[in-house]
Amino acid sequence: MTAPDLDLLRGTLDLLILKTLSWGPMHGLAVLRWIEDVTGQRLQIEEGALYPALHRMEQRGWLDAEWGYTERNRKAKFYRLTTHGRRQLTAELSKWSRYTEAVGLVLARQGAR
Amino acid sequence: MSSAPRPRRVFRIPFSRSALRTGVDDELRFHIEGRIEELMSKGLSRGDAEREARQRFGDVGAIERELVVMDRQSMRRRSIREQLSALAFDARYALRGMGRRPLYTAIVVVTLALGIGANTAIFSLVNAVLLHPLPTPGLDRLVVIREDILGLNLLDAQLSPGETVDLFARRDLFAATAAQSGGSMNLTGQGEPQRVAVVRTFGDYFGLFAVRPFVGRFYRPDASTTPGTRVVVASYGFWQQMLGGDQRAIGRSVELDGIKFEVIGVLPRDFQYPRSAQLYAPFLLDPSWLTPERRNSLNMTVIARPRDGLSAEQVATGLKMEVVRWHDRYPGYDTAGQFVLHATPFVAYLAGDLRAVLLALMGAVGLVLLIACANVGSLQLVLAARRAKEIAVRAALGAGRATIVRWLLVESLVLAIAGGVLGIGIGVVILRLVTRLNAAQYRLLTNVHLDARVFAFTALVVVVAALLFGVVPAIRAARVDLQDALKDSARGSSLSFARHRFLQGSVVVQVALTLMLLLASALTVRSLARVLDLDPGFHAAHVTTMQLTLPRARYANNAARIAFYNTLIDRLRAIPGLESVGLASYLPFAGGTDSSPFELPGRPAAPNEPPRHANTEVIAGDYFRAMGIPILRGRNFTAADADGAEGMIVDEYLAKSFFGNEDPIGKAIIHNNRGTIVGVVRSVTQEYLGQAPHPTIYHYYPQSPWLSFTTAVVRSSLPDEQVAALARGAVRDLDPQLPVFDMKSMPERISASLTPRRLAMYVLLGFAALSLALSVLGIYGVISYSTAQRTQEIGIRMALGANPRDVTRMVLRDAMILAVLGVVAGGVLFLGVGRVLSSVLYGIGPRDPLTIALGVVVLAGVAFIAAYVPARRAARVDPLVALRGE
Repeated sequence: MTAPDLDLLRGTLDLLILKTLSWGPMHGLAVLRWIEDVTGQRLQIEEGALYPALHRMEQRGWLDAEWGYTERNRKAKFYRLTTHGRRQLTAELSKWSRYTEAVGLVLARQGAR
Repeated sequence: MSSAPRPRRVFRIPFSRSALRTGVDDELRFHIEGRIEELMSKGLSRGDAEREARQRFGDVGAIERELVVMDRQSMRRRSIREQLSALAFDARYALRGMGRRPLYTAIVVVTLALGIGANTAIFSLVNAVLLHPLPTPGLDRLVVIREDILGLNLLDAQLSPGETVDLFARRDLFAATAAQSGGSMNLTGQGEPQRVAVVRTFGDYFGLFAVRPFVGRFYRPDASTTPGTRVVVASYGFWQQMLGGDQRAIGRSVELDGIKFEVIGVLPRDFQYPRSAQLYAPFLLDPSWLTPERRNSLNMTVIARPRDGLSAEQVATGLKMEVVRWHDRYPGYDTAGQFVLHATPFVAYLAGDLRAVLLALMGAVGLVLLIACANVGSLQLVLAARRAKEIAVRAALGAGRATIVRWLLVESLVLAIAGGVLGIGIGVVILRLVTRLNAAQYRLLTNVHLDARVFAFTALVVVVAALLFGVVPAIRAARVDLQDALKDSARGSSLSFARHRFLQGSVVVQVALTLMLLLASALTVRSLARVLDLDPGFHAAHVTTMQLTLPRARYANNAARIAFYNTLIDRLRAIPGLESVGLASYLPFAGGTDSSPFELPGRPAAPNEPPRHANTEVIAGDYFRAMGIPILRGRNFTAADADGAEGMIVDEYLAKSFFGNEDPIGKAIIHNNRGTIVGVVRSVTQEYLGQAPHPTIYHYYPQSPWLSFTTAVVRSSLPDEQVAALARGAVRDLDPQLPVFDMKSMPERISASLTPRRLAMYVLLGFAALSLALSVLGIYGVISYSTAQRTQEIGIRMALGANPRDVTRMVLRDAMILAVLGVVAGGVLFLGVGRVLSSVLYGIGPRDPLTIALGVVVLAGVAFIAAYVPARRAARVDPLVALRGE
């Protein structure tokens, strides 16, 4: 197992979950695996924080949850992006890009070391 | 990249609490199991994998608890959302149903609207008069402090400035204090001279009421002790009418009693207290006001806000101690116990005698609403029976009892809301009628409008009404027998015994409540008739009255005033058509009296004698003739009484109380001055019909020339307006600067004093008529319906030989049993609660047997007629048709 080198920035977990679920309904573990696969294990997601985030987003109406069966016929809770959640994803994405842009501007400035 | 599997939907997220916990548990277990398998596939042992997975996850228990809390919240939110959408569905369904039954819906909505509208109207009066008469926050904490001087039979009197200053110093009792002294001044220099009401304020008056200037500024509380302050604050109404509502009016001056005052500010529109106030000026506190001798000049209304946390009892005790202190400090007060200071809630003080009337009316509209609900309830029950099939279909499609009850209740609510919307319109109409009839006499009623509180109350009434008339029919209807209802397709199922009971019950309730309203209104009618029968002691017809006040600036001394009054009387007398003319200081029914002690030299007080205290009445001209007050003994004043020893005339009550059968003529009397009794006149009612008599002593004005104000009394057979115009002309000829105000005929004044009685009577009569109409419809409807249900039975009876008369009698008997039950119930209830009417009745008790008998007979008769029509129709049933028809 490779040690993860990046801690997750606060507030970006929601964005990652929304983006991941935009590919289709998944259960919690699948969301986690998806992020790990895509980032090549570089991003450490605190597993304990994942479920509260999912449930909170469900409460806000961004996600819809249903029980269903996995390919291996195990009962699991699947999360699906609602219309509201899709709108939220768009909003968060633009916020994120504005944020990184601003941070980038500061960091790109050449200065005395 | 493997795409996520599409879940098959199995069941909804569980709703119950334990199911919630299991759900969270399952979800987390699935996660950890998945992780373990993943780790084991990488070669870890089961034990290591499990340890690793749990460690990565963190505190499972804590997260689980957190999730359960979150899910419970979202569950609650979701269930609310689902219920709302179910309600919306039911409401849409109800609206469609209402559209299918336009006539039925119209009857129900109008019935409810009448009941709700009556409540809205009376509540808006209660709101404006009792709950929220002024925009001051914490108004209900304010109290008015007044005094009773029991020895003088003087109750709820104002305080003197000296007493007021002493109370202002009690910072331990009161967080804020202020006082006002009513009065009026002549406004000149703005067209026709006018009399305007000027309130003199003392202390932080505007601060106490937490009012801010609408325009300009207020004077400071210390203006009272700053000599030469000549500023006024205008009421909104005065600013609009007399100053053109112009911002630039600030800084202008107005001339009052010949002196210029600067207008410095305007009060906001919603602050109208005292109701008649036009201008506010500082009460200028002359040090002479504070001398012990002037502590019985009672002219200040003291308003205070007790300190937070002080109970009414603590304030009362504090006031009692204050009186004790005054006794010690200022000798000459009446003996302890005879003099009482008391604090009354300001709102109750403001409402005065309207309070009892409004509370009685509020009770009455409650009854009207109950009648309307009983009426609609029976209609709804019958409708539900007709719709048994529709209900059964829904039940067959899986709707449970609760769902059906909710559905029917939503229908009731939709009907009630429609009734409420229409009811607000009806309420506005009722309100207009009530205020237009009474606004002239009751300034409190001039500014009544519907505000948020009234709408909230109406909404509450709507919900209560919907429950009252909807619950029982809904529960009954939901108890539907599926088989029966669906099979029996020709007609709605007939009424079960229990439903029949409910219909009968609604008739009994309507009759009972209607009887109560009938009795209440009949009692107010009879008591008003009794009051009108009372003899005020004078002949009011053909008497016109008007007030005038001589400004001290121009009529500085007695001689000037006497000269003016003499000339005025002569001028008026000279006008053809004016039969007799007099002047009086305190005209009966014009508000106000002036009472002071008198002495009867050489006559020790008898044990049961009333206090030697009499109203002062200073008169001139042919006052007794103009008023139609007969002189019983002795003589009238003559010009000779103007000089030398003063002659005084006493009233019959004084003569009887203090002289018994002795002749009082020629006896000595000391009242303000030393004098002799020269005559005895009939006693007159001073303030309102039915008032207890008070001794009165008449003085002849040339001997009491301090009088700067007076009321002219003219007896004439000419129309009132003509007399008023003639008198106004005569005054203008004498002094064009002098306003003539408060012109009213004597019958008008008496009538105005009856306003609360008349208000109670008209409104109760209206509501009684309304409820009578509703219950006639109710009886008619229920009897018609139940005879229609019995058509077959009646047909059998007639086929077996019963004649039409027997059938009529049978139906009538059943109906009259209900009517009698209702009358008995209503009568018993009325005996129980009629006492609340006591304060609005006069000369008749709430249990007056004649009135009750009359009400019972009227109502039974009306019920008989309402039942007779369907009974006759039942008798015309053709047995053949009836038996075949079903």
